[in-house]
Parts: sequence; structure tokens; C-alpha cells
Amino acid sequence: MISALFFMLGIGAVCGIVLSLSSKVFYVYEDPRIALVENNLAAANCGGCGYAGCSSAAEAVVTGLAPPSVCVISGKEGVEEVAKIMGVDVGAAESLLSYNMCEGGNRADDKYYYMGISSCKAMTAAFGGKRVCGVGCLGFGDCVKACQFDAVKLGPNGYPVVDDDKCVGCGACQQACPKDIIKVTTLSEQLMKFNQEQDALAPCAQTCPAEINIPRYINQLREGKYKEAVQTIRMRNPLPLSCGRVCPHPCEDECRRGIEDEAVSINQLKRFVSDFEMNSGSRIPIKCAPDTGKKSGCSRWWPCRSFLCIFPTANRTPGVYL
Amino acid sequence: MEFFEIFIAGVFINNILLAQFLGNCPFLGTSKKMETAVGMAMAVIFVLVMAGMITWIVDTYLLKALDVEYLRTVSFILVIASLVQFVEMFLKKSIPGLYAGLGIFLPLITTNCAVMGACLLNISKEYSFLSALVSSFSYAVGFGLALILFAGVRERINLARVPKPLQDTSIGLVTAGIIALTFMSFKGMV
Repeated sequence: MISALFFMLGIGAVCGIVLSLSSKVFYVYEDPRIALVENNLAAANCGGCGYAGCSSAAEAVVTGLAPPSVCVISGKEGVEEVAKIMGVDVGAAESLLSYNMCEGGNRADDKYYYMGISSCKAMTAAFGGKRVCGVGCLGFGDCVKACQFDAVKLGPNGYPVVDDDKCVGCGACQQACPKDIIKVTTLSEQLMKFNQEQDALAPCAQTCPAEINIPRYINQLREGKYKEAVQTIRMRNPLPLSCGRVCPHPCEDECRRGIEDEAVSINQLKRFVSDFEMNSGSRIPIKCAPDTGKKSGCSRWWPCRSFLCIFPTANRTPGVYL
Repeated sequence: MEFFEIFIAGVFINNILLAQFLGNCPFLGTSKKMETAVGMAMAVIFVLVMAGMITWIVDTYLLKALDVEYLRTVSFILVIASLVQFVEMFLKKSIPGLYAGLGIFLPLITTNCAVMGACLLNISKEYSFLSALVSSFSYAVGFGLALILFAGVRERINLARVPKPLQDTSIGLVTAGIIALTFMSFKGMV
């Protein structure tokens, strides 16, 4: 009994002495502020900040590589505490939130019956997913799996619904989505911009079913180039005269001028310029390549978005769609 | 030839995870992602080889010499825990790269049952120092092999349609059982 006591005491003492000595010998200086900053981060190790974990984010803050607001979860108080430790100003920042752009989901028909790995990424590899809609949500919930904060849920209509209270804006869902449906951005940025994707097209041109280059023809009208304006319209739509009268002009609903006062009368301008062509007494000729003597046709059998199809196909007849 | 036999026996036949069923907590805990599984496997190889050496020395020159073999378990826990602490400090100072790679896994396995069990098995089989070294290494390699295999299978299961009540740990345990069955086929090889 006594020998056992002394034996364990001996081993314990030796281990203790070795450890305390080696903690002196192998001492590595660490900035004490790193621990302080880390205490004020969220300690979720989510990686939302772009660093490997909370400790490496704290290190980046102390070395000055990252701002005090590096942590996406910690909220205003945490950021203020970190800023106090580092002796810098917080600055105003709006919190990031995740926004789902697709509200189609199950509304889109299926092209084929999918029996593969249940992940949106895998399904995208097979003809861009089972939906007829090429840009919409596939509904397998890669974003739901990616979310570490239980903020994304698949809604009843087959597209994800984000819980704003739980969302911290870490961007994991955005990275997981193969269809780029989810955007992580601030509320004001979301409201200020109509076009989500690279901001390349004007909203009117995006919503026009015939995809007419509306800004271009309005500009040509402004410069008095009526003939050129007619050509611009006819590039996409061969019937400006009747469309100028019957088109329900969805373009005007999205016109940005409407945010300020009233939308530009896009359709009225089209009617005016096509009336101008009619009243001038002569058709403006359409440039055409010389005849090669050969004919070509479209052989698409799957649902086709073309507005101007003049060939009868499996599910479309020209009479209906022209 | 003896070393080779010990190695094969340690990796396949007496696999520490799938035949001895020691260290099941890291087996289920760190096998969700391949990345963590590989990190854990490396850390176990590192720690188990060191622990195998130090416990053999403690057992032969202290416990047996002083005739206090009944204190084996207690003293092994103390020695292995201190050793891992020491190694952690040493790595932090001298090899920061390795520390960054193994860092979070080292304290996780300080007195893991797989590490402890392998050391006690070495002693109970009355191995020589070199045999104990080879055996600890082979147990650790076996641990890594099983863990990485399991992580690979689990990553695939994540993509399959698993019924709700069976998701995550439940299907993990079922899978572990099936992999353990396949490892039974190595029985009686040596």
C-alpha cells in the first residue's frame, strides 16, 4: 500500500517536473490579445469569416490582417468589444443575410425522372437538373445541408426558405448551391439592385419576352434615327406594328424610372416608330445574306423558348406562337 | 518474419477498431469528413508509437522492477497523458508545421481507449521492445486504415437517401458493423 502510494507520487512528481520545465523551455510567445479577441468571437468555428477557425481569425485580427468585424455571427456587441481590445473604431456595418432568388421550385415541370445521388450538385451534372427551368431551384437541399445554423429549410413548394433570425450570413449556402440561386448580401444592396447576375442587362430588356434591346432603340429614337430603331426592334420581333398595340408590356412594370415617378412608355414608343415606318409608305429593307439555295430547319424536340419559331415541331405549331 | 507477422496481425486480424472494438468514440466522431479522418489517423500513429515505447519502458524498468504491476493502468494513464502534453509543447516550439496539422487532434486522444488498449495488449503479450514498437505502429496503422475506410463510406452514405430514423449515427453504426464483418474474414490468417 505504502509502496504504491510512493510509486504513484514519484511518477506524478517526475511527470509534473518534466512538464513544468518543458513549458519554460518550449515557451512560445503569443500575443495576449489573441486570447482576448478569441473570447469575443462566436466560437462556432463556422469558417464564415474565411479563416480556418475562430483562433486563426483572432490571430488575423491581432496582426491587422482582418478588421474587428471579421466574425459574421458575433453581432454588434462582440464587434465593439474586439474593437475596444484592438483600440480601433468599429465603423458602421450592415449585417449580411442570405436571400433566395428562386420562387419556382415545384412549379417547374420535370424533364426526366431522376434516380441518382440526392444532391443538387450531382443532379446538375445530368442535363442541368431535372427541371424544365434551367435556372431554378432543384429542391434537394444542398443549401440546407451546408447551413450550420439551422437557418435554411426546404419550403413546401420545393425551394429553400431562409430564417432571417437564425441566418448569420456566413455564405455556406451560396457556395453549396450549383444554380447560384442563393445570394448572401446586405438588405440595402438587395433593394438597390434589380439585376442580380453581374448587372449586365437593363430590367426592361430582361423582362421583354422577345428580348428586344429596349435601351438601344429608345436611344436611337432620342437621336432621331427612326429607321435604325425599327431595325433594332425587328432584330428580335418581326411584328412591331401589332405588338406596339397589343403587347401587355411587362418591361414597363420593371422599368427603373418607375421607382422615381413613372415608367418610360416603352410600348408607346415602339408603336410610334412602327407607325412611322407604315406612314412613310415604304418598308425599310432587312439586310439579308445572298441565297445559297439550301434550306435549314430546327430539329429541337424538347421544350424550346424561341419566340419566333417558324418551323412546326413536336409540340409547337407556328400559327400559335407567331 | 516475426515483425511482419505482428504487423499483419495488428493491421488486419486484430484491428483495434473493427476486431477489438476499442476507440469507438473517435471512430464515429471524426469519420464524418475524410479530412478530419486523415488528421486523426496521423495523430494516432504519432501518439501510439510514442506511447508504446514509453509504456514498455515504464513497465519493464519501473513496474516489474519494483514489483507493483497492479498499478499498470493508473500509471499508464498518467504517463501517456504527460507524454502527449510534452509532445504538444515540443511540436509547438520546434515543428510548428506539424503542430498546425495535428494540433487539434493531439489532446483528443491523450488517453483514448485505443491508445491505452494497444499499450496494455503489448505488455500482456510480453513483447520485446522492438516487437512492442512494431505492434504499436501496426495497431495505429490499422486504426487509420479502418477510420479512413469508414470515412469514405460515410461520405457516400451522406449522398444516399437514408430513411429519416436511420440518418447520421444510426446508419453509421450499421455501416461500422458491416465493415467489422468484412474484417472478420482475416481471422485465422496468421
